Amino acid sequence: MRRKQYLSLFAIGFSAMGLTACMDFDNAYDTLTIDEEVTETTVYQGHPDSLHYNVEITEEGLDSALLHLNTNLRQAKGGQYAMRGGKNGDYPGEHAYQRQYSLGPDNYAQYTTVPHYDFMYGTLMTSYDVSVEFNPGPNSSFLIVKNAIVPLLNHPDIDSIPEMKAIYLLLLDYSSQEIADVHGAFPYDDFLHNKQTSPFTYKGVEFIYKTIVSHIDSITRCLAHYETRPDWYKTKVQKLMNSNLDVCQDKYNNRKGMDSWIRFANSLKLRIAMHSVKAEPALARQWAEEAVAGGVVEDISQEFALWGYQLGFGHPLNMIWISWGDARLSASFGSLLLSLDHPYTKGDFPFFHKNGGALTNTKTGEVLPPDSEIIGLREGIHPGMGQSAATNPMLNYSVFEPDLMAQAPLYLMKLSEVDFLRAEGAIRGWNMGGTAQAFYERGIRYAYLFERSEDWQHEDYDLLVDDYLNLETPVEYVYHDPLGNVPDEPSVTKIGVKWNDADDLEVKLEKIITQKYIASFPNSFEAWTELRRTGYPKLFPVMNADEGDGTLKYGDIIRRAPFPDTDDASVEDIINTGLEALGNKEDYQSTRLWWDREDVPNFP
Amino acid sequence: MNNHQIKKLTLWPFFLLALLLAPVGRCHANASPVELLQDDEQKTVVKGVVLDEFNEPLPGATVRVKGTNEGLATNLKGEFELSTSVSKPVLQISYMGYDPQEVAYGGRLLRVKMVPAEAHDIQEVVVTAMGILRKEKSLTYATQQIKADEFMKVQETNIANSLEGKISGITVTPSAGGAGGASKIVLRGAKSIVGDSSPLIVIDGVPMTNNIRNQTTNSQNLTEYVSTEGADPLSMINPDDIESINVLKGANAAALYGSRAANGVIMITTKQGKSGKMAVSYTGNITFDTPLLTPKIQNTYGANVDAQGYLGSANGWGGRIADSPTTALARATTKMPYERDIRLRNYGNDDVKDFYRTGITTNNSVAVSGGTEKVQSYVSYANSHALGLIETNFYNRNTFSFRQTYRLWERLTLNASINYAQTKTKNRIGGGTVGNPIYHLYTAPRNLDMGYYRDNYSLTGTWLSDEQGHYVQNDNGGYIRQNDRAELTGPMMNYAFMDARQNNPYWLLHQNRSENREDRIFGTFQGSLDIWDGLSVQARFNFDHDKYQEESCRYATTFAPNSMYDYGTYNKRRDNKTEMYVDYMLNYNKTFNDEWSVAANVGWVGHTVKGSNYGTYIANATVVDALNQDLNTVVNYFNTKGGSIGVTSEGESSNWDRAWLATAQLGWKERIYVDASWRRDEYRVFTQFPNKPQGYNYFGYGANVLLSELVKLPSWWTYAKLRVSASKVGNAIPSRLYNNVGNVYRTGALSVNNSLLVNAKPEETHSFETGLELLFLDNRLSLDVTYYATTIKDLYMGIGNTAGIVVYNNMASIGNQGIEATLGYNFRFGPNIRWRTAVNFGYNYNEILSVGEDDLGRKNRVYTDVAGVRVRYLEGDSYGDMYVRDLRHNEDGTIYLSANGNVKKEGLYTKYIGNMISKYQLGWTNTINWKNFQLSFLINGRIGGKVISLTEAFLDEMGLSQRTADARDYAYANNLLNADGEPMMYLPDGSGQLISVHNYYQVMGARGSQYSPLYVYDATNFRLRELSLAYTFKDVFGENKDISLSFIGRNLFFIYNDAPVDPDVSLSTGNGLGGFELFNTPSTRSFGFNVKMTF
Repeated sequence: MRRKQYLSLFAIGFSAMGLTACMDFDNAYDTLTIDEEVTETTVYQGHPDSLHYNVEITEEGLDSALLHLNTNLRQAKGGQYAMRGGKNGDYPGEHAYQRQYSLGPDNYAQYTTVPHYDFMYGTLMTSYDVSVEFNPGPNSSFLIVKNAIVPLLNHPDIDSIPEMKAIYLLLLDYSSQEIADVHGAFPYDDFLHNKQTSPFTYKGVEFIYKTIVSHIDSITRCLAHYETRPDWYKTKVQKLMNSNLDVCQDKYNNRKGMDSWIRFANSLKLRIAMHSVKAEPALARQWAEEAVAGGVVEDISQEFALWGYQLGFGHPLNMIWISWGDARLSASFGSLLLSLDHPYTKGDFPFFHKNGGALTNTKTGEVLPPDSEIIGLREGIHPGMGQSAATNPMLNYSVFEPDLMAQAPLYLMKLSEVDFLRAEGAIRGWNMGGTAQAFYERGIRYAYLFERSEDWQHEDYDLLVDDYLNLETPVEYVYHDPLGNVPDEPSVTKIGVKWNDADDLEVKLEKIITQKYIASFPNSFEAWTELRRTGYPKLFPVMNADEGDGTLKYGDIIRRAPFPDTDDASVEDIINTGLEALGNKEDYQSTRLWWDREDVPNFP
Repeated sequence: MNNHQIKKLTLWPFFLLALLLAPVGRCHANASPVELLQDDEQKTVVKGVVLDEFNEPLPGATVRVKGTNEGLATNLKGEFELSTSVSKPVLQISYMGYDPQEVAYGGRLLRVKMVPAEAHDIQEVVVTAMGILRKEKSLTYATQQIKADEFMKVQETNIANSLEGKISGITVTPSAGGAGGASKIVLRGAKSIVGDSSPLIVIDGVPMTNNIRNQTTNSQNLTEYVSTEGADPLSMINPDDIESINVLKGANAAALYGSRAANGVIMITTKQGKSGKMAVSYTGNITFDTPLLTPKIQNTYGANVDAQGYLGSANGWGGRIADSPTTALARATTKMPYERDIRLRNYGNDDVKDFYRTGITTNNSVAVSGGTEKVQSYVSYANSHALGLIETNFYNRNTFSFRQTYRLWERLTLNASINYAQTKTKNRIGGGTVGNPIYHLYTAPRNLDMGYYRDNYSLTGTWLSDEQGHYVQNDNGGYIRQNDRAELTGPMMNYAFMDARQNNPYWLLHQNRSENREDRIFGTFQGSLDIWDGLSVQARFNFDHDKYQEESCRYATTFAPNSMYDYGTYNKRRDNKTEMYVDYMLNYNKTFNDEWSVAANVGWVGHTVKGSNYGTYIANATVVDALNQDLNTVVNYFNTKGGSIGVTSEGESSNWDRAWLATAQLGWKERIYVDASWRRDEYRVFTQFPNKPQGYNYFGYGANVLLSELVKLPSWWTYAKLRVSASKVGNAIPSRLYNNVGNVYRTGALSVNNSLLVNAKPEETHSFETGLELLFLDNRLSLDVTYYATTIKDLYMGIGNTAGIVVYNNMASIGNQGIEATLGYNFRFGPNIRWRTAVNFGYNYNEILSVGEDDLGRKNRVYTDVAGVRVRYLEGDSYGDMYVRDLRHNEDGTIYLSANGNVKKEGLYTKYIGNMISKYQLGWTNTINWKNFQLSFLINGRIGGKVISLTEAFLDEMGLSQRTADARDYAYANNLLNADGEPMMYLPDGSGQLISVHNYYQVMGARGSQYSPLYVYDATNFRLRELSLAYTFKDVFGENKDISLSFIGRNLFFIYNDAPVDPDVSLSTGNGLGGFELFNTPSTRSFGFNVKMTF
C-alpha cells in the first residue's frame, strides 16, 4: 500500500474511534429526578421496642443520627398519613381511605350502606359480601403504615433519639391495635422486627394487646424522662417533632414537651383495657386505672387527629359519598339518630340531608317526594347498579352535608372517646377520676365531628346539645323503606340520652356506648369493635347476612373480617400459624376474637 | 438443573436417525456433457438449457444479454439459442418464482440451474449474528429465512404479523386495535416471567430496540379504563424495503448478541441498490376490512322503565323491548340538575353492525434502484393508510429510505443508509372499558334508540361542577373558605345515562379525540476495509432518533369510572429517544490448501439509549383563578396553560450496554465445521450495585457434519447435514433503579419502596440444539428438523408477601424443549403446473424446573393474577397454569345457594382450569403456479392454550348476552318463575335447584370478579390466514418488466375456532397477559387487490 492509503486508513480508523466519544456510558443514578431520592439498601433488623432512654447522648451524636435517619424519618412521617387513608407519603386521599374504611368497616359498623354493587375492580354484592379484590381493605393501609415506620424503629441510630422512637412505636402500635381488631391476628412480631420474607408467624389479639400495653408502659416512662434532658437536646427534638408529627396539635398551640403524647399513650392503653374487659377483667381494670392515673386526654386541645384544615386537604369521604356515590347513610345509624332527635338531624343546617330525589315504591306506587326525610339504606340489602341517582334510586338516600364534612379532622384519639371509656370504667366501679355522668355529658358535648376551631361548623350542634342531653325518652320512629325493598322496621332504640343514676348497669352501658358510637362517626374501627364487644348500640338486623362467607345468619353481625391475604405464601402461613393465633378457630366472618366473648355478659 | 435432566426428549434419536439414514449410495453430480462453440464473424452464438431445481427443463424462462435488448424465452425443452454482438456476453436469466441469475458465457453450452426464490439454498451465504456472513451449510444451528415474495403476497402493515404460520416455532400475537399497533413475538416458548420474552430485532446487522409504547403490564388497569397499546419500532418499517427475514430461533444462533438475544433474533436484510440498469418498481394494494367476530348480543330484553316513566339502570334485565315505551324520563342528579327526556325504541336492531364501518387499508410503495460497479443506490418511498373499523380511527405512515453503497480502491466498501418514517394515528382503540366506545356500544341497553344517539350525540347544556373550595369575602371584609359548585355550560354529551361509567359511544368517537404522531429517523454508516489476505476491518455506526407526540382531549361531561369530567381533560406528551450503536470488527477469512477454512472475528460493541419525556396532564381543563376566589367556569380549555400547578412532568431515561466479543469457525473441506464464540457484556443497571460483578461472560459453540459429502447416500437422497450447538447467554434484569423513592414536597415525606432486592444478576439461558437438514428426490422433498432444549436459570422475579413487600431475586428456572420441523415438497404436474407446499410445525414443552425456596426451605409461591385467574408457577408444572376461585358448594357437592337465592364464590384459588399457552403450532403454505397464474394460500393454527373473554362476562352480568336472553325465554316458555314473577333457571349441578337468571349471571359475570371457568375458552383454532391469486403480464414495459395483479385475502375464515373471540389477538402484549380479551376492537377479515409492476 502506498502512503496515501495508509493515511486514509488511519483517517478512517481515527474517525471511527471518534464515534465512541458520542456514546454516553453514564451511571445508573444519573437520571434520578428531583422528585426521587435514593434510599439505603441495608435492611436493619434491630430492637424496635427497646427504649434506652437513660443513655447519655452527645450533641454530635444526635446530629449524626439525624443525618443517618433523614430518609427513615421522612418515610415514617408518611406513615402517619397512611393511618387515615394516605399513601405514597401523601396526605389522606379518597382511594386509600375508601379501601381502608368505606368498603368494609363503615358498613360493618352500620354507619353506611353502599348503594351500588358494581365497582370496576370488584363487587360488593351485600355489606358482608366483599369480593376478594376488595378484601385486603384496611390491611392495605396498615401495611403502608408498617412499612413506613418499622425501618425507622429498627435503625440503630434511632436509639440516639429514644423519644422519637417511642412516639413512632406508639403510632405503629395504635394502627396494630386497629388492624388486630379487624382480623383477629396478624404477624405482629415479625412485622415489628422488620422481617421481609416469608414465612410469617401470626400472633393473636391477646399477644398483640399485651405487647402493646407493655410498650406503652415503657413509652410513657421514656417520654417522662424527656424532662430531664438538656435544653439543647429538647430544642432539637422539639423542632424535629414539630416538623415531623402532624397528628398532635401541640405545635399549633405552641406547646412544648411530651405531655400530650403521654396522654395519647395512656388513652390508647385505656381503650385496650376496655376492649379486654370480658377476656381479662382484672387485668383490664388494672390497665385502665394505670392509664387514668398516668394522665389521659382531658381537653380537646389534647386530641389526636390529622387536621386537613391545617395541612391542606379535604376529608376523603366527601369524594367517596358525594362525587362517587359510593356510600349512603345506613338505616341503622339513621334510625338511631332520628330516635334520639340528634343535632345532626336538626337545625338550620342539618348535618344529614333529606332524600335527594323522589323515591318510588314500584309495588305500591307510593312516592316520597324529594327532600322529605332523612332516610338511610338498610344494611345488607342488595344494592342497585350504577352510581347516579338518575338510574339507581338508592343514590337518593341521605348523605351528609359536604361543607361540614370537608374540614372534619380525621381523629385518632378524641376527647369524647376517652370520656366514654372513663364513664364505662366508672360504672364498672373503677377509679376513673370522676363520675360516669360527668364524663358522659362532656363526651356528648364534644362528640361533634367538625373542626373544633371553626365556630360556624358546630354552632348548630352547640345550640342543640343541651336539649339533646335532656332527652329522656326516644322519639317514636319506624323505618319505612320508600323503595319498599324491606318491610317496615320499628326503631330498636328504646333509651334516651339524659343520664339517670337510677338506670341499671346495662342501660347505662347502652347509653354510653350509643353516644360513643355517634361520637366515633365516621371512624368505624372503634364503633364496630364496641358493637361486637358490648352489643350496643342496638341496631337493625343486617339483611342477607348469610351471603358473606355463609357462616352468619339473619340477626348476626360480622365478628371479624377474614384474613386479607390470598397470596399463596400467606395462605400457607395462615394454615400454619394464623388459625392457631385466632384461638384455633376457622378463618370465618363468624369467628369471635379474643375479647369478643359470647359466654361472658357485660356485667358479671 | 441442566439439560440432561429434561427427560421427555433426548437428542439420541436424532443421531440414530442420521446414522440409519446414511447408507451406501452416493449420488454423482452429472458430468456436464456437451460443449459447443460457434463463432460467426463478431457475433457470438450462445446456446444453453435452463433447468429447474429438479434438473428438469424450464420452458418460458427469459434469457437476456446483459446491457443489450437482446433476449428470448426458452422453448418447451428449456433450451435457448441466441446470437449477440457482445464479445464476452453475460446472460441474465429469470423466471417467476426463481431467483434471477447472471451467468458469464464462457464459450460452452450453458446449463443454468435455477433456484426457487424461497428454496433452501445450501450454497447460499447468510447473514448471521453481528452481520457476519457465513455459508449456510456451515451453520451449526437452525435458521429459517423467508423472502420478500412470501410476505409481500398479502401485505401486513406490521411486518411481524407476516411471520405467523410461515416460520416454525414462532408465535406472533398482535395487540388489538388494528393498524399502528405492536405485535408480540415469541420464539420457542415463553421464557422470562418479569423479564422480556421477545426476540431481538436486527436490521442489516444492527440491533434495534423494539420496545412497545404504552405496554400494559398490569391486568387491573386493563379492566378499569380504555386501554390501547402503542406501536413498536418494527411497525414503522416499510415491508417493501425488506429483502429477506432470517429468524435465528435459539440463543445458540445469537450468542454473539449476548443478553439481548437470549430469546432469539429476527434478522432483517433490507434491499440494496444493484449495479446495472436503473429499475423502478411499484407495489400497491388495497384491502377492505370487516370484523371477523363480534359477540352475540341479545335483542329481546331492554332496560327497565318504571311506572312513572323513569329509565332504570343501564342493563338488559328489564322487560321485553317490544313492550318498551319510546321515551322515558331521567331524574335530575346533583351535577345534572334538570330532568331530561330519553329516546327509546320498541324494536330490535343490530347496533354493532351499524357501528363498524368497512375499513380500508392501502399500501403504496415505489422504489428505484440502480448503479454502477462502484456506486449503487436504492431509494424508496411508501405510504400506508388505514381507515379503521371504527369511524374516526385512521392510521397513516410515510416511509422514505435511501441507501448508497460505494466500492473504492477495491479494498474499501462504504455503506450509508438513511430512513425516515412518520406515522400518525387518530383515535386508535385497543379495548378496555370506560372510555372505550366499543364497551359503551356493546353495553348499551337494547331498547335505547342508538340511531338517535348516533345522530345527536351532542347538545348544548348546563351542568354543575364538583364542590370546589374557594375564598369568599364575608361581611367584615375578611375571607373565608367555602365549597361551592360552579354552573358550567358548553357542548354536553346527549345520552340516556348521564352517569359514572356511562358514555354515548358516538360522543366518544366524534367529540373526544386522541392523536399521536411519531417521527423516526434512523441510519447506518458502515465502512469495511480489506487489509491483507483475508483480514479485514469493519466499523459500523447506527443512530436512531425518535420523536413521539401524543395529544388527547376529553370533553366536559364525559364520564369516568367513578365520576364525571366536569371541565374536560387534556393530555399532551412528548417523548424523544436517541439510540446509538457502534461496533468495530476485525475479520479474518482464509482457506488453506482447499482443505481448511478459517473464519474469525473479534470486536467491540457499544450501545446507548437516551430518552426524555415531557408531559402535561390536565385533569380539569379550565382556567384557574390565581386568587382562588372565583369558581372556575371555563370548560374544555385544551391548552397546556390550563389546570392547576403540577400538571406538567418531565423525565429522562438512559440505558446502555457494551461488550467485547470474538468468534471463530474452522471448516474441513466444507464437510465438517466447528465454531465457538464468546462475549462479555456490561450493563448500566448493574452500576448501581458496585459490589456485584459488572461484566458477564457468555459462550456458544457448535459443530456440523455434511453427511452427504462424507458418506455415500442413495441416489434419491441428495443432501444431509447434522448440526449440534450449545450456548450460555444472559438476559439482564429490568433496567431501573431498585432503591429510589418518591419525594412528596407537599408533605415533606418520602414514599416507601416496598421491595427487597435479595440478589441481582442476569438471567442465564442455557441452550442446546441439534438438527438435521435433508433433501431428497432431486431436492423436491426437503425436511429440516430441530430439537432444542433451553433452560433459563436464575430467573429474576418478585414475589409479594404478607408484609406487603415484594422480594426480588434470581429464584427460578424454566425449561423449554421442543421440536420444530419444516417439511416441503415441490410437485410438478406436466410442464406448466407446479405446486410448492410446505408444512411448518412447532411443538414446545415447558416445565418449571425450580422456583426457589424461602427462609424455611419451603418452595416459593410464585404467581401472577390476571382477570380473576391466578397463573401459578409450580415446580414440575408448566408456565401458564391457570387456577380460579370455585363456586361454593354444599357438602353433597351441589352448588350452595343463600337464603335469598344467590350463588357465592370461594375466596381462594383452588380450581385448575388448564394452561394458557398453546403447545402446538402448525402452518401450511402453498404456492401453485400455472402459466402466468399463481395461487397461494396459508392455513395456520394453534392447538391448545386458553383465551379469556371478559367481554362475555360483562355482557352476562348486564343481561346483554344472547345466553341470558335464551335462559329468560326458556323460563317464560316453561313457566319457571318465582313468586315475584322473575325468570328462573336450574343450577348446572344437576341438583334441580332454581336460581333467578339475573342473580346467576350477575354473580358469574361480576365485573372484576367474574367466575372465570365460564369465560376461559380453548384457544385451539385454524384459519385461512392468507390467500392470493395472481396473474402476471410479462414484459409489459420491456425485459423483465412485468405487471402482476392479484386478489388477496387475509383472515378469511376460521376452519375451527371454539372461542367467541379471535384467540390470536390480545389486548396486551405484556407477559402473562396474552390471550386476554376485553371489548377489543375486533380483528379483521380483509380482502382486496394487489398490483406490482416493474418499469
